[in-house]
Amino acid sequence: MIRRRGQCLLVCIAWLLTATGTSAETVVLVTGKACPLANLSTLDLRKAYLGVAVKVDGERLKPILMRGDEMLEQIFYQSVVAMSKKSYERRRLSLALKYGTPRLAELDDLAAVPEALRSEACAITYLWGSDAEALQGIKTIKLLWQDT
Amino acid sequence: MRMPVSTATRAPRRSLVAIGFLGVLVSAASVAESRHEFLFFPSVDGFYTFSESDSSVDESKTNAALDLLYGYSGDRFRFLGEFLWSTHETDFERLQAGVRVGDNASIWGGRFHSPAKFWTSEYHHGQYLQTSITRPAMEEWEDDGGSTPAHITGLLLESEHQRSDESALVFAASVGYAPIYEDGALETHELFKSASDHGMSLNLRVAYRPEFLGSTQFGLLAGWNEINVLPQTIPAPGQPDTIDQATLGVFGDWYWNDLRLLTSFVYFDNELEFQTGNTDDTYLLGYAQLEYEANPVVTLFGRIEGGIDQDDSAYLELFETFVTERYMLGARWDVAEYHSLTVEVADTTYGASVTGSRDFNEFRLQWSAVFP
Repeated sequence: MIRRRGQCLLVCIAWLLTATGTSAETVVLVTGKACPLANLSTLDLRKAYLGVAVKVDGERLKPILMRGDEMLEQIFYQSVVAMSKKSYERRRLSLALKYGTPRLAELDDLAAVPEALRSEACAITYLWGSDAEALQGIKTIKLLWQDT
Repeated sequence: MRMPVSTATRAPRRSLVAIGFLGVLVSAASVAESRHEFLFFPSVDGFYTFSESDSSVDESKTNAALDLLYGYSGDRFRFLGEFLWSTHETDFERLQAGVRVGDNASIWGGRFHSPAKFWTSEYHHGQYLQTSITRPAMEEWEDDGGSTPAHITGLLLESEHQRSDESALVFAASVGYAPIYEDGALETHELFKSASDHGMSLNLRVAYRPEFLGSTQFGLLAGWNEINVLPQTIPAPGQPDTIDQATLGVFGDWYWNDLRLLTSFVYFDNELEFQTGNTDDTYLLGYAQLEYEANPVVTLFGRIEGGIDQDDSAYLELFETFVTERYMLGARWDVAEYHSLTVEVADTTYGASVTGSRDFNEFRLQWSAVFP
């Protein structure tokens, strides 16, 4: 609990340092416009990112991890999977070791997101709200985090 | 005498087979990357003994290993291969193909690890993922002096069911060929080779996770193994013809904030069949490993392992280097992402024997990692 509070504090400080002077930022869950997915429960989202097969309206979700933005990653660990980066990575490795389960796809280039979400039915990922608004061909389905 | 570390040396030709096999898989992976997984688990560890009661124990030793893991997960078909390349052996540890049955179950065929061993099912050969350098003696591999079958060739059913209260039940059951006992150790069945000498192996693990997405779990283990004994050129006195081994145990893996407790206790009932009659041999083996994550990069841990009546077991006496008791303390430092340094010190007793067991103190240092 103490560690989680510490991580929250770090995120808040990082946010203050990087976003001073901008409007309140958000992190949102996005998918391709062709995906019928309109909403997703927090539990189902967590399951999907923890390697559990989640189907919504008959479509299996294909989660994508966003890399390269430290603060976005921290918000993902706290708000989506609710565990530390270390615990999350060990869990992913453990699933691969036990069952051969492939780790999730990863992206570190924002420009590649629309194509990645279009190429797979119901691929999902998380973005800064401002980035999601700027990208074409994707839709926002859930607010994951909001700067307060 | 050699220490209770790997003893087998396998045919080097397997290295070439493995390289070719991995080459094919790497080619396949480039076509559809998201369904494939490659992991490389390298490790190097040094071992040093002091205060030994038996001067024949190796004073120091260095081991290096590279565990190669490949997994394929399609809509219906699955495949998993694990190849270990070390200073002591070169072998396919797991080579299994499976199909999904419904959303929650898979049936595998091939060579796999016994589901009735908790630690083995949790860590396999992925040294980096286990906190300690050593594994408990009752979880030891056959070619490292292990006394319980760890590698089975046959069929494996795995399933996981989410319950309405967000808990989960996990089942794993297998039927296949058990190892044989030959030259003082268990020898596993090799794929595509004759199984005429091998008896049957049945294994079961049932686990309960209070939280479906959590890591805490506990459950039951059960197994039955028919271990045939290959006659030696010079018959050894006291060597049975066949061993029927029944096991029943429990395991637990609890997480409390920064603490983790891994434990398992297994009751063994062995019937050793001699030409002159049968001997019933029973004992209990168990271990408890407590881990404390002092901070995000340092974990302190300790393990106690031992049992009841294992010191004078007629079955364990067949395994010269089997560790019957160990008190161990250690520390792990995650020096970088996916790299760790670990140290262990332990007071170890080995060799179940009516004439007395031997003990020594040991110090180990290890680097382990995972790529990519």
